[in-house]
Amino acid sequence: MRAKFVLFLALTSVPTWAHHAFAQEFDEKRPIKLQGTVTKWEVINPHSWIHLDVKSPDGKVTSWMIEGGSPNALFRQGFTKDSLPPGSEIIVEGFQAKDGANRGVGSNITFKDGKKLFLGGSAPGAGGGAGEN
Amino acid sequence: MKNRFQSVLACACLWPIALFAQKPWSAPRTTEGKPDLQGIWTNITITPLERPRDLGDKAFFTEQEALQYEKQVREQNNADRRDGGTQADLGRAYNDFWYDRGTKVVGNRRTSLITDPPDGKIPALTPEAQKRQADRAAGARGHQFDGPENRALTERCLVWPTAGPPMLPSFYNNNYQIVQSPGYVTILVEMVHDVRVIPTDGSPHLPSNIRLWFGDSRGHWEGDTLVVETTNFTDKNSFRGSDENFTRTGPDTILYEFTVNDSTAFTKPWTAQIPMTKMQGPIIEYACHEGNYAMSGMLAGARADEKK
Repeated sequence: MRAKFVLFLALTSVPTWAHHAFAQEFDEKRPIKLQGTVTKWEVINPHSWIHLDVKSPDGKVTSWMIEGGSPNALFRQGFTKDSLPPGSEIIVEGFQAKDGANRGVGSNITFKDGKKLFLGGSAPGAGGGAGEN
Repeated sequence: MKNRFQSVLACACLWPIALFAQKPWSAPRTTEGKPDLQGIWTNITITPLERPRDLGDKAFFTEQEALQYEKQVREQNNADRRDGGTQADLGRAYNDFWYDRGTKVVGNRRTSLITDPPDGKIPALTPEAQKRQADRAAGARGHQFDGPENRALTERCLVWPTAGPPMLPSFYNNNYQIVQSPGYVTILVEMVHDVRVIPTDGSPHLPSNIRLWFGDSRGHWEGDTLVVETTNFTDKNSFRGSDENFTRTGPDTILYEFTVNDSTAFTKPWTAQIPMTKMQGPIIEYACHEGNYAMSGMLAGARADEKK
């Protein structure tokens, strides 16, 4: 249970304060690097979730979901639900859920050609591609 | 005849001066004749609540220092950093794409939102409050992930510091819509779709045995400033009470100031100023609970840890 007024103190260093304890949901000892095809983007609060199908060399397809941020802020940056259409191929570097589920948080998300999918403050490119630096 | 001509001439000469003279700005008025605070506003800023330790006594940045600070924060928040190990990498997963913490310091370049005490820091807790905090921490130890009720109110989609009161900017969605109607000022807080209804009709506070998550707010006008006093907080929330002032200072700005005066918690009162700036609407709904996969994810992570 949060101690009273801890909230005030924590807010003094927002940039370094880990958002809702990623370390509780995801395992720093389970790094992941996935390449897959977007099947769905759940644009919901509190966090959006990118769903992708990842095909392994033997042809097996596994579904993953990768945590994102609040869509309210995304919309204000110019993103629409068409900004990451199904079929987009992305590479996700991040960490997997502690319980081993096919769930992760992405610390680096790029298109296949290495172009960064999301970068702070960038407006999206035209035609469904997201912004780059 | 001569006098009238002279006075007409004098008036004609003064007209050009009058046209160029600055008319002091005054807030538009509602139909009740009160300053109009209505609109959609954001209190976003990278200025921290407390002054960073390394700034010592420095209360204000120079223009150059402010630009440097803004650049530093922007770079820090968006750096593609792989140093620090996997735990740090995990903690730093998000950059300004997913967050909307702002990119600018406050307009007067103060180094903290806190204006009093002069050191820009929250005063020390009273021994009583320290004990309360220690007791809670002791009670929580080993139970932080028992269930949703043990998690922070923010993680439970219940309440964010954005609503307060006092209303503090946070990771994103630092947006408010103010509506005035006869006898009320109402604030819709985007994060997390809360509405503060503040009677300005002179009605008294609720009886002291009735306790509310956002407290019971009552407002009145002192000149052109709306003064809001809030009491009757429940202890389920982290806030206990503060007085807030809202003053429309320009076409696109409201000066929001609050003072926390709780002698059972803090050894001194403290005051902060957070400018609110007009923004393009609308307020976007922040439905939260039903999409809160993170909550089940965190609890599942705790169960997985326990099995180790």
